[in-house]
Amino acid sequence: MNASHTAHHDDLGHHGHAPSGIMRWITTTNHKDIGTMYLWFSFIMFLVGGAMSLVIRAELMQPGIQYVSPEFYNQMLTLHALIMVFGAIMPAFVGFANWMLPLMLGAPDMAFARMNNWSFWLLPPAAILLTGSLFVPGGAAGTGWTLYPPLSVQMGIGMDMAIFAVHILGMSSIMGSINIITTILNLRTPGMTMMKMPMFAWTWLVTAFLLIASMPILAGAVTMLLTDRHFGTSFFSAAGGGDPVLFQHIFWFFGHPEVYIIALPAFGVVSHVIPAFSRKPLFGYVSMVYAIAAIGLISFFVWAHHMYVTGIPLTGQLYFMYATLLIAVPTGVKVFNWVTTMWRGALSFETPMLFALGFLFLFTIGGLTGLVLAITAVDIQLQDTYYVVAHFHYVMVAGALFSAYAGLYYWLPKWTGHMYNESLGKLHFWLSIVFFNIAFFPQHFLGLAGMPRRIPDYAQQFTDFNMVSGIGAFGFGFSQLLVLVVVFKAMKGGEKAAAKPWDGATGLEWTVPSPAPHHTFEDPPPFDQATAHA
Amino acid sequence: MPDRLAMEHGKLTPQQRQGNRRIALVLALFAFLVFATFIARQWLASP
Repeated sequence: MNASHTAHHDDLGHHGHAPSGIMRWITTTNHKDIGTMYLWFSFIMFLVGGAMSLVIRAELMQPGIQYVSPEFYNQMLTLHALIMVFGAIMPAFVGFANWMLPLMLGAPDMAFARMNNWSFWLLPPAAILLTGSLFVPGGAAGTGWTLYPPLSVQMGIGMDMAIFAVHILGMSSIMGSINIITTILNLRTPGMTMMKMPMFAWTWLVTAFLLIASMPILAGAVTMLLTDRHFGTSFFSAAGGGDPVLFQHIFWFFGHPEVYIIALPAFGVVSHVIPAFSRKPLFGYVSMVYAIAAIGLISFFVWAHHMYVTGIPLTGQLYFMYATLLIAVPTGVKVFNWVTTMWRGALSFETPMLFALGFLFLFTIGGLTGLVLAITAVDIQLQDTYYVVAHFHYVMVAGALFSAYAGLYYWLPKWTGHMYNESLGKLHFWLSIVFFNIAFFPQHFLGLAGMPRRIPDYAQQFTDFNMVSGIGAFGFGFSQLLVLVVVFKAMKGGEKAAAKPWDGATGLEWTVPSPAPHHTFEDPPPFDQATAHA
Repeated sequence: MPDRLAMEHGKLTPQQRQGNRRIALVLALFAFLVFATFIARQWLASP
């Protein structure tokens, strides 16, 4: 490896003009610093949102009202969802994108380094608005993350804070997306054609387009909510001639692509981890790319499957059912490709691979229950039951979070320069997968038996499964603290990581030393088949 | 801190810089148009 074209070993401090201490982080325009900040921010928000979920599960340990008022319970589940979606999962994958995309593409940094800084620093004020809304008169928004009117038109100042937070988060996402698309389209090293790009770049390219097309819709919806609340309009107020169901259409026109905004980068990470630990190239690269594009496109045409019980016409129900079922085709292509990548591979089961396999099994379960819910006749029975809660936690937690952990353990040696503790990593995986299933699998049964979601009380026959689910949730929650131990240990020291610590890994990111120097690829690196992912 | 930013940007060619700006402009314009036309459409349709 020729160091002159791959990396500059000089540190930030050697330039003399760079600020240090807190100002380094506030003013940084370096993609690695900003990626690190995104990842820490998302983990802190993950703990905050997780603590809120434990309040919910503690309340549900037994029937009746135990610890919190129904109003506060609703505020907890609203903030839990908003924080987990916008504050934890999305920033985590933006953090991965910031750290890894320039390294994977052979670019010196993101295309707009200063805008990158701004994209990140918009997040803490939004987080403060969301969590701070708990302390204002009337408390936080208690509508659920969907912010449906008429309740969202009637609530107190906490709703305005949530709306403002969503505006800020949307701006941050759009700026981040513009940066990512520009970087991918314009800063790839010579020779890296689109169809030779790393799969993580492909998933993020489609995700960023989804964000740019769907985030302004959400911004429009909450702006209209704001004008209904304070400026006398009646977009969603039936009393003024408006229609609350209109909000549901608008929200889910954003909300369904949002599901894939979370899932696609997760697919990207897994598409790197599985080939690396199978010691084989990814099976079906081209079909994978088309599947990603198809999922992105179809995600805009299925929104009303969240609204089967709102009285949409039968023809509409049938259309949305068939369109939703259609998504199973490209998703099936991806699962098939991951399994076929492993077929006859020289597999090994280090922590990243364990999390990728956990993702594969559990995300597939979440996908299958999604197909069940896509059937109109079934969904009308299961709408707003715990079956839906179980379904989307299998997709979001076992899908997105497990994939994020796979990425964390996979790239941690590149970030810290040290190998993580494999035993602790494996312990983290096994505790996570066992407690996750204890927490969420019984919720399928609760939903099938008719337990409604978003209610702090329930009929006595649901007690046992709720108790089991609660034990699983607390076990899952506390086992996540192991990640902190693993990361701190790797940051402090341990076995030195080689430039390419995984023998099956491919790509430009493994041609720079570990830890990756502060500045990399000032000159575009050579790109050949040996470093290609395809 | 122009030096530091230049360091981050590496040796981009003028064409790359111009391309960056063009792509960003088109995307930002698209996002704004989605937002604005969407609200305008709902506004015109409301009673």
